Amino acid sequence: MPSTITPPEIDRHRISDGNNGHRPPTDKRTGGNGEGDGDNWNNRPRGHRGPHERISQARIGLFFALGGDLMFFVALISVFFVTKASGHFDAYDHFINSWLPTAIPSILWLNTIALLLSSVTAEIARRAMFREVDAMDEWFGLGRPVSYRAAIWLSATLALGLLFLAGQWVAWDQLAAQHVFFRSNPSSHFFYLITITHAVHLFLGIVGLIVALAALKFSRSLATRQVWVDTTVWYWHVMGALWIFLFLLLEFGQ
Amino acid sequence: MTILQGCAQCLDSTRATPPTVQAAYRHAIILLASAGATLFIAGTLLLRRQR
Amino acid sequence: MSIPTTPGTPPNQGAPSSRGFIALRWARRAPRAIFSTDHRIIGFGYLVISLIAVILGSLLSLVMRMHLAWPSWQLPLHGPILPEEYLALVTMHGTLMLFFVLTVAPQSGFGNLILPAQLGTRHMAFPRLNALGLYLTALALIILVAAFFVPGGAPIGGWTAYPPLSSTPLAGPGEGLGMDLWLASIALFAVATTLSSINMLTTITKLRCEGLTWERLPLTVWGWFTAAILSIIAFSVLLAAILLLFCDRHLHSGFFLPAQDLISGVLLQHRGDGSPLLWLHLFWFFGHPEVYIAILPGMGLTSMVIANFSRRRVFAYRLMIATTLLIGFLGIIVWGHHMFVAGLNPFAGTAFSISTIAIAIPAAAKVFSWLATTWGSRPRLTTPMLFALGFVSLFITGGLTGPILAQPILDEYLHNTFFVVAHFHLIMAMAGVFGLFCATYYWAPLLFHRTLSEPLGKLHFWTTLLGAYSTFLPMHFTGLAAEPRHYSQLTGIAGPSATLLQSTLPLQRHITASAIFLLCAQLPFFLNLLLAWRRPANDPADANPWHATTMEWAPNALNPHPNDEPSIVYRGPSHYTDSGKEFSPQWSPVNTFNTEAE
Ligand code: HEM
Ligand SMILES: [Cu+2]
Repeated sequence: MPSTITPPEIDRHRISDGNNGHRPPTDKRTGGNGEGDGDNWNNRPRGHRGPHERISQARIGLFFALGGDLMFFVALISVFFVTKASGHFDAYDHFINSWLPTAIPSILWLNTIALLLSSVTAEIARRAMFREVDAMDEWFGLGRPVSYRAAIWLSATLALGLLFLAGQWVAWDQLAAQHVFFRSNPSSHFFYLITITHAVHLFLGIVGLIVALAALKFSRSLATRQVWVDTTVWYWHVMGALWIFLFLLLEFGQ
Repeated sequence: MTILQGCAQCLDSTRATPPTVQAAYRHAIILLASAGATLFIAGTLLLRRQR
Repeated sequence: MSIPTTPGTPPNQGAPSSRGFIALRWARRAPRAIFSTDHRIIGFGYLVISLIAVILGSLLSLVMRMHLAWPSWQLPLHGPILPEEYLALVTMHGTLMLFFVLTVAPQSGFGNLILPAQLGTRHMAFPRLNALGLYLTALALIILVAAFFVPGGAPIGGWTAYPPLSSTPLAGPGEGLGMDLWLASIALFAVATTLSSINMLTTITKLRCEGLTWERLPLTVWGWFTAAILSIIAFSVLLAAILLLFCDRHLHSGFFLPAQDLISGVLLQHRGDGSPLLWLHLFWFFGHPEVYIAILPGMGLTSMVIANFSRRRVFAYRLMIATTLLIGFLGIIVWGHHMFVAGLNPFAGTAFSISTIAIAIPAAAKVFSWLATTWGSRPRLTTPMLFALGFVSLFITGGLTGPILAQPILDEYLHNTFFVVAHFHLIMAMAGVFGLFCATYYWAPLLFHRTLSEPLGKLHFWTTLLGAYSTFLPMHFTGLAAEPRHYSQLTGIAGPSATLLQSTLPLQRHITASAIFLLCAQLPFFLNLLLAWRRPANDPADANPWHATTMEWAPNALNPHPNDEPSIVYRGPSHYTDSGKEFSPQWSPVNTFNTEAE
C-alpha cells in the first residue's frame, strides 16, 4: 500500500503553539452545540506518532477488511445451519432430511497443526521486526539483523502455509477417491465451499507473505518492512483462528 | 395470538415447518444480525478511540 | 508515493484559468489520469460512471412508462415491448440505479472528491486500493450492460434476483448467460465497494488533521462513515449469497431451491431442501442497508447545506451524529420487513416490524433538526439550499409511507403494488437524486471553479420538484387501487380486477407524461453545466462564495500544494454569529470572519 511509502504529513511537520510544546490548538467553543469536555483536544492522549502511525493505519485497514470477511463467513455459516436442518415431508408425511454428514478426512488434523505452528513462526517473525537492539544495529550499519531473523521465520511460515494448502488438496483428493464431490450431498457442498473459500483466503495470505519477504529483502525503509510483516502476520493469525473455528464446525457441527 | 402479524399463508406454512427448521432460521437470523451489529459498533468505537 | 497534485501551477493558484473545467484539464493528461491514484481524479471517474448509468437507467424507465400507459406502443427500431423485455427493463433499471448511481455517486464519487478536503488531509489511506475500486466498478458496469447483447438478453429477475426465477435458464430468456453476467457484475461491484469503503473508513479514522475531533467532523463525514461501514457489512453478505446462487445455477446444489421444482413445465431435481426464503434473508440483509448507503451521505449534506444557508448551527449537532449512527445500526437489523409476505415466520415478522418502526424515531429526529435549523432563520434560497429543502420534503413524503408498509397486516395488501414503488422512489430515488444535485450545485465552485447559474438552477429545481411529485405521488393511488408491480401489462386481464385496473389508466397516463416532463426538466441542468464550462473561472479570491465553514472551502483545500502547512481545525462546523453576518470557518485561527468585509 502506498500508505507505507508516504509518511503522513503529521510526521513531517509538528506545529508548536509556543508555550505548551507540541499541543494541538484548542477551542472550547466546539462543533454544533457540543459543550462537553469530550471534545477538548487537550484531554486526549497524544496518540502514537511516527512510524507507529503507519502501522496503525495498515492495521485499521486490515481490521475493516477482515470485518467484511467475517460477514462473508457468517453468511455461509447461517446458510449451513439452515440447510442442515431443512427437509421435506414425503408422501407418508415423514419428515425427510437429506443431510448426510461428510466424513472429514483425518489429514485435516495434521493440516490444522501445521497451520497452528505457522502462526507461531509468523508471530516470532513479527516480534523480530520490533526488536530495538537489532534496529539499532541496522542504524549503526551493522548489517540488517531485523530482516535476517524475520525472513527466516517468515519463510518457515510460508513453508508451513504451503504445507497446509497441499494437505487440503490431499483431503479433497481423498474425498474424491471415495466419490464424495461438491454435488454429492448438502453437507459436502459446505465442506467444499468452506474449505475452498478458506483456502483462497489463505492463498492471499501466501501472496502477502511473499510480498513481505520481498520487502524484507529489497526495502531500505525499516518502517515499510515492519508494516508489511506486521499486517501480513495479523492477517495470517486471523485466517488461522478462522480455520480453527471452521474446522471445529465441520468436524463436530455437522 | 395478538403478537403474531403476518399473512395466513405464512402462518400455515410456518405451522407446517418442523420446530428444528424454525429454530435453524431463528438462529441464522440472530447470527447474522448480531454479527453485523457487533461489527458496526466495533467500527464506530474504533473511530472514537483513534485520537 | 507523493500525490501528483498538479504539475506546474495548481489550477487554484495564480491567475484564474480561463479554459475549461478542472476535470477537462485533467482529462487532457488522459493516459496518466486514467491510471491515477489521485482521489480527485478517481472521484470524477466515479461520477462519470454514474452519469452513464443514470442516463441509461432513465431511458429504460421511460420505455417502461410508455409501455405501461400505452401497451401497444412500439419502440422505434425495435417494435412492441414483449412481457419478458419489460421485465428485463425493470431489472436493469433497478440494478443500474441502485448500484451504479445511488451507491456510486454519493459515496464513492463525492466522497472521494470532498471527504479528504473536509478532513484536512492531502491523500487517502490506500490510494491504490481506491483506484482498484474504480476499475472494478467500471468493469462491473461494462459486464452488466453486456447482458443486453448476449443471447436471451438481459436478466428478468428484478434487482433482487429472487430464485427460482434467477436460478435456472428455464425460467425465461435472460436467465441464462444474462443472469450469469448480472451475477458477475454485482460480485465485482461488491468487491469494489468493499475496497473503496476500507479506504474511506481508514482515511476517516486515521487521517483527520490536527484538531478534528469526533464532534467537529461535519455531518457529511458522518454520513460517509456510516454508509461505508454498512457497505462492508452488507456487500460481503451479498457476495456470499451470489456465490451460493452461482453454485445453485451451475453446480447442482440447492441452497435456495426445494428438492423438486416445476419450472416452465420441466421438473427440476436438486440435492437438499433449500428455500428461496434463505436467499431473501441474505439478499435483504444486504438490501436494506444498501438503501441507507444510498441516502446517508445525502442526509449529512442536507444538514450542512441547510445550516450553511440559514447561517445557523445545525440544530442538536450531537443528536444528529447519534441519529446517523443509529439509523445505520438499526438498518442492519430490519431486513425482514421486505419479506412479510414471503413465508416469513409471523413471529419474526413481528420482531422485524418493531425494529423497522423504531427507525422512524431517528429519522423523525433528523427531519426535526432540519426544520428547526431553518425555522425563522431567513435562509438564503440559493439553488443548493432549495435542493436541500427539496430533499427534506421528499424525505418526509416518502418516509410517511414507511411505517405504514412496516406493518405486516397492511403490507400484505400493499407489498406487490405500486404503493411500494411510490414509497421508495420518493424517499430513495428522488431524495437521493436531490442530494446529488445539491452536492453538484453546492460544490461546483470547488469542482469546476465556477458557480452554476442561479436562474437556471432554480428553474431546474422547481421543474424537477414538480415532476418528481407529479410522477410518484399518484403511484400511491394506483397502488391502493391494486396496480401490481413488475407487471408488464394491465389491460386485457379477465375478471373484476380488470375493472379496478382499468380505472387507473388515466392516472397511468398522467404518470407517464409526468415522467417525460421530469426527464426534460433535467435539460436546464446540463445546459447549466455547459454554460459554466464556457464561462471563465471564478476569481480565486472568491473561493468561498457560500461563506461556508467546513474545511473543503479553506484556500486550496482541494488542490493543496505539497509545501503547504498541514491543516489545523480550530472549531466545529457551522459557526455563525447570532446575526448571521459573521462566521468562523473551521480553519480560521481567529474567531470571526465578517462576510461583509470581503
Ligand atoms: C421511516 C423509515 C422507513 C420505513 C419504516 C420503511 C419501510 C419499508 C418497508 C416496510 C418496505 C417493504 C415494502 C414492501 O416491499 O412491501 C420498504 C421498501 C423499500 N424501502 Fe423503505 N422504509 C423507510 C425508509 C426508507 C429509506 C430511507 C429508503 C431509501 C433511502 C427506503 C427504500 C426502500 C426501498 C428501495 C424499498 C423497496 C425495495 C424493493 O422491494 O425493491 N425506505 N420500506
Ligand atoms: Cu428496507
